[in-house]
Amino acid sequence: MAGIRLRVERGERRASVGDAEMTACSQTVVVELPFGHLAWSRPTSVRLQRRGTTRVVPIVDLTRLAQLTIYASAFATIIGAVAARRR
Amino acid sequence: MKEDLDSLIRSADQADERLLDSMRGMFAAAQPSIVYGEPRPIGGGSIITVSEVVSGGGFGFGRGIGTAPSQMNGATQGPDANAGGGTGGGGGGGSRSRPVAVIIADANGIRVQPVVDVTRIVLTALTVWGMVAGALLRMRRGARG
Repeated sequence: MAGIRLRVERGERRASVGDAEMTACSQTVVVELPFGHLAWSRPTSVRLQRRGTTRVVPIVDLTRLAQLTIYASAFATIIGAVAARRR
Repeated sequence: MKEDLDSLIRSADQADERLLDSMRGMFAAAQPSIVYGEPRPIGGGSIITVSEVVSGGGFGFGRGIGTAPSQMNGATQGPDANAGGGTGGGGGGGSRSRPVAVIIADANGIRVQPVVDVTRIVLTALTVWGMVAGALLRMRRGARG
């Protein structure tokens, strides 16, 4: 029976959009459990090649970023309140 | 009888391995195609959807083998007379996809337009800040008492 394994895989997908060549990059985190799997795939960046120039555009998950900001600010508020109470 | 039990255990092990292999195939999912959609022509350009995909699944098996001594007409039967066994299993899985951005290609060039899920952000803010407010109120009451 296999144990718990964690691996990160990267993938690329090429597509032609108009006169540009696009390479879409993604990252997948796979957690292998003895009797199950969990896979989390997310986009990372897009590489655009057009007329000899290459441009890399990172893909930012604004929803996730906003959620993390809310979590962080709430955590900081609680920590600050506890510290103020101890003084 | 022992051969029957051995073959039962062997077949159950083979079924376990087959299911485990198929499950690995299902979730060996480092496939950019599930993150990036096919280019779709719209107007004078085309768009590609970009999503975050989470998928998971699990399964379990069980088997039991036993014997039950019984008496019939005063004579004790052999221990194998009422022997039996069985196997069973079950599993489940699911996946969730959330749009992250849209790649738009048109006459103006190619650009990545982020997708913001306002409902999700508002729900997160209400839940988290509700919990923080509750915790602060409790702390204040504790300080007074």
